[in-house]
Amino acid sequence: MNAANEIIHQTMRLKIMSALSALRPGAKLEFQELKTLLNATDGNLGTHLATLEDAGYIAVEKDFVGKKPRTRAAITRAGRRAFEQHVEYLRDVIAGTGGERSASTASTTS
Amino acid sequence: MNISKEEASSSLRDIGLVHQRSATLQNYRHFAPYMLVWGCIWLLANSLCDFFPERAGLIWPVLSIAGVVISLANGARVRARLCAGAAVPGSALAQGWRWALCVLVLFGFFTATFAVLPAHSSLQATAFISLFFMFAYMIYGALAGLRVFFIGLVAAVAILYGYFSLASHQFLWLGVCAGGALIVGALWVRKT
Repeated sequence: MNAANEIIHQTMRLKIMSALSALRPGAKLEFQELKTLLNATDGNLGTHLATLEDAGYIAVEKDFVGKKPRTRAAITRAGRRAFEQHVEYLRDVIAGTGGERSASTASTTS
Repeated sequence: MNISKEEASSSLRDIGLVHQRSATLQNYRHFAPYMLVWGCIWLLANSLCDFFPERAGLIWPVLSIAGVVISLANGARVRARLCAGAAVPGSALAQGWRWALCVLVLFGFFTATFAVLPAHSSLQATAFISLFFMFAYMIYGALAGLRVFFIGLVAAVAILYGYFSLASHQFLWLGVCAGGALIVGALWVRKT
């Protein structure tokens, strides 16, 4: 049975993982592209990218194009696997076979 | 961590939306360089045909081969970059033959088409080939991103208008409209 991933489930991080998982293996999205796709602010996006990078779910690469700094992010294999498991978990919740049971078990025990 | 059905449903909806937008962005980014290359070739070839109509039989083949070579080189460059970044099966060279095969299929298609339905003039042949690609753009755009669809639609309408309504400089019109639409479109889809 799949379990909820607390790192990925936060709204902005879920969107970041979703955007990056749509890319072909090895492809990257630039910071500005992610910002536009997700309607995020610089600070908010930067914070959540750092959290996902610390968890090993994404790889962030910083370099320069001429004199302009560029930040690009790509999903890692571990990140893609964790994201797919979380999506499966969400589907289980909707189907009533996973999350709801976990939730009811949790409420019974508490 | 407890997640309700409503929250799960909302999360999956968000995932679907962002996934689709990201995939569309990637398609635009992948497609734009090819549109730019072929827009320039279309513009150049048709403009030259307009000014040197007696050389039309030479201009298009030479520039078409140049376009194919540039497109193949760009595809190989992109695939090589992807293969270097992650574990992607196959190499740039191993994939290259598939594109070469596509070029041969297109060449065979147009040769067979003009054998069955001979073109009465080089303008008719050029307009037909241009329309073929613009409708192909529309099909691709319907599947991958509506911007590409509208670029194909505008260019196709412009080609038909020039072919049926203009009395002179039709090659130039084809070059400016179809080539220009591709160039403007390439810049448009890159800017997201």
